[in-house]
Amino acid sequence: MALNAHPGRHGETEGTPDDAVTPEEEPLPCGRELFDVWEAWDAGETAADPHLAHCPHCTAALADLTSLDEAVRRARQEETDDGTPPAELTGRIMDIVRLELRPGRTLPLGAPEEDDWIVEAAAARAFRAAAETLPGVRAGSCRIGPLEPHATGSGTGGPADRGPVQVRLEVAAGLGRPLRELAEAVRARVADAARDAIGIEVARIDVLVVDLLDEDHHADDEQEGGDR
Amino acid sequence: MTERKIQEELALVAADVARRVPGVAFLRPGFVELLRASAASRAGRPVTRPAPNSTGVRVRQVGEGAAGFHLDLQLVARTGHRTVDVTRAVRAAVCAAATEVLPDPGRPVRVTVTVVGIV
Repeated sequence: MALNAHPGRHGETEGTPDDAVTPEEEPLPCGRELFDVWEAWDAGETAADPHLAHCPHCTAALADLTSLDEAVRRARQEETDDGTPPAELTGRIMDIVRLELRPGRTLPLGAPEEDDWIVEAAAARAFRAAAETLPGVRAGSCRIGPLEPHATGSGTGGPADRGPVQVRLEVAAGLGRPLRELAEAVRARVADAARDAIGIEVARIDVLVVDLLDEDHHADDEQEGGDR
Repeated sequence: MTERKIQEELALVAADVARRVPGVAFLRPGFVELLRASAASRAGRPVTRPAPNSTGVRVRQVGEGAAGFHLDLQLVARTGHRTVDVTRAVRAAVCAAATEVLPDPGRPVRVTVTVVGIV
């Protein structure tokens, strides 16, 4: 499938102007990027890489990550009061760890005169989740940036960088309804999330249907939740 | 109180106040700094650990003659709370607490809040 199976890790800000300047590289003494080591761990590919198996720096970094993962799981077993499945919450927290390495650009929250911000990856995750409340929709890459990037500031978070944003969301869709109608529904869910759940001013939402889901996939969705 | 002591006190108070705001899951935990310290320790290099209890808060002096302070908070918000309402509440609470910490209440304080995740 053309979509990223777990969007927001790689590809979230791929191709954005910030890529060249903002990623916080964190090379280990051996030269490997910490982010890449964690990605390999997450994908279950560490055993296939001899370097990761033998390098003291990489194995130490992986040991720290594993300890963190286990600590989060233990904590969730003791405290499950909000109904969030432990595995899902663990995944969200581990994503936050990744965000420390690749936070992406910051986007303005609230009114222009305020000084509140949200990183792109966090907002994108919320928008993807909102889109996937629709049956037959799988969200992929979500990029968010200034509506008028050339008219705003330097992207460093100053007052000139505050203004409406635009969203570009890629989805894979089932064939249960006309694509134009489905795209409108996705756009509405994203707009609701922007206004009601986050509080970010979104001036434009582009929905791109980049793949079609087979009927089995769609049937699964119907069984899981129907039209939410 | 020295300027450095004031900055440390501001960071601690800001972190404490922000954590108590409904909708705040936790402040930016600073895992990268912890891992960097861990790696440095194993490699036998000097370790600079983040200040306890104030990770996620950065304080620096700003303005003419370093007259004011800029507090930069990074936090993780909870789902079920409108994110911008959480950041507004944090900013208001931190501003109020910061003015109480300052020995000279006339010094300006700017508070920036950035949400780095939602859980």
